[in-house]
Amino acid sequence: MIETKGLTRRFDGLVAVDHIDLSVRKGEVFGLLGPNGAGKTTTVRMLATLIGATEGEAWVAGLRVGEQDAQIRAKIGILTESPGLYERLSVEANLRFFARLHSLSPEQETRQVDKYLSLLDLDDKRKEPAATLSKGMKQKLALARAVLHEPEVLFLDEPTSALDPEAARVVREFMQDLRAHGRTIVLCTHNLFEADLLCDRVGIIKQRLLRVDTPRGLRSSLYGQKVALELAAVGPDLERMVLALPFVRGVERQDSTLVVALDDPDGNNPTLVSRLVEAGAQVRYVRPVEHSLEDAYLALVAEIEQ
Amino acid sequence: MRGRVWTLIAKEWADVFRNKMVLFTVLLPPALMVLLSLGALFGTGMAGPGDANDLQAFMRRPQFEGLSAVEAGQVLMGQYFLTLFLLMPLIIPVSVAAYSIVGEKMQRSLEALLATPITTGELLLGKCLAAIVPALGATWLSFLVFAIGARFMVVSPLVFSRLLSPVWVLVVVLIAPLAAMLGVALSIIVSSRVNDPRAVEQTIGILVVPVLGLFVLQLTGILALNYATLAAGAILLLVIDALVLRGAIRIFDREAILTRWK
Repeated sequence: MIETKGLTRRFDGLVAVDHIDLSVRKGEVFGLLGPNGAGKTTTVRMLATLIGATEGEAWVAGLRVGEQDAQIRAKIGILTESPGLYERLSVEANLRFFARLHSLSPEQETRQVDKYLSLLDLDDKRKEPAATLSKGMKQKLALARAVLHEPEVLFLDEPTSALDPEAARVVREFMQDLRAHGRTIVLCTHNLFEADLLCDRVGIIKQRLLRVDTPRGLRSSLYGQKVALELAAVGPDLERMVLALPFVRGVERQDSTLVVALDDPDGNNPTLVSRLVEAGAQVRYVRPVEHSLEDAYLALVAEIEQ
Repeated sequence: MRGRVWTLIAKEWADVFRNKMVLFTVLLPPALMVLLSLGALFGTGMAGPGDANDLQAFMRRPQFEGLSAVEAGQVLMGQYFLTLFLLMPLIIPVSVAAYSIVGEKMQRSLEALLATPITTGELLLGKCLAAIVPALGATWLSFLVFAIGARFMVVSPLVFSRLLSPVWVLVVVLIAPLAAMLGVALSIIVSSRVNDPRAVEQTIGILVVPVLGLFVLQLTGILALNYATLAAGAILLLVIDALVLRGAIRIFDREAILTRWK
């Protein structure tokens, strides 16, 4: 659905985006993660045909960026970093304006406006000026505006930033709903919990695209796969015995817990536990060690900076 | 294309005219101009023979041939105020365009708008028409009200025919749109640099100077309005419009709006 080859953007000699090769599949939710100034918004703006690329090529919904821009804009929806609503216009007038720009027929316009006002719980606010809405409601209205014309590709730039937890949750649930309906979404976010929850794959960007993987794959590739075994007591012999097992990559001892990095935990955990029991260990609990995407992201960025 | 341009114009009017300041700018100058012009005509018509004698010097000009002193006075006064009618197509679109474009910047709504299928040409056309149409509407309507009112204020039908001569009708029909275009194009250029509509209005307020200059030139008799001066003025304004509009089109580009506008 989205393809880029060597996509690059420079501003007066400053490289904002550096030779990005990206492929986002139809129906995929792809997260673009990176610190401020990493080039996330610039990448989205290039793909949304708002600014041109200095080098490279890109295709969105099968159309070539830079050559079929108006057609691309008809097939995409974008949620910008700030809601950017017409504050003096009513909630409904804001949506109707964008529906008309997308050439929806009067019947489609009414149907879509009603549908999204209802879905996003804004129905009772439809006649209110946008200026009177709370921050969360404004963001929901901006989201409704972005999806009103049922775009094939949706670009969401920091959709929950500056929202209170309750509003962020509503917006997140709506995104999950969009995901369930097979919408292709590019999500720029600092919120790694959100990326972990919503994204099929994430790309870590800092001018260049540093790594693309599933959130789980990213965690595994950085930390390996680990299990924690809580024992009644741990001795040095036990630690050595575990380390000698062929599928074990490393062992750490934390009080009475052994943290074991191993290949294929699903297949090898029973062997690991039985060998420990045979060696006289009393195994109380076995649990997988989960690292958050945030840990993985910070580790990766630190690794790159070094 | 027509659909999206009209959609944009309708949105602009719904949005901008909710702003009382803009509404005030669109409604007050025409009302003021009509009242002042008709008042001046009425006052001149009421002047005594002594005041009328002061007009002897002006009466030697060909346009006053065959008129009495009072009639000449009314024609003279009426034409001075007609010059000021040209302020309207300059002031009104500046105000509408400033609040429309700077308003989009302040509300940060341009990026979402630019991400729709609307073309840059449609966007520019919609913004320009949204500012020009009310300005021309107000100018032409107030001119019509003035013309109807003048019919009752003039001391003789001869004054009316001299006052609202074909040259003056052409000035209002031809020069007003060119002046409005200049105001809008300059508003776009200035709006790209500032974040306050009042700053746009103040900067472009300088356009009032040439109109007042025209008023003074007429008053001192240096400039007489006829077909030749009208044609020269229209051509000059057309050239200036073309140059300024070219600059505005260059600035009104998707990428420039998102990356270079302050």
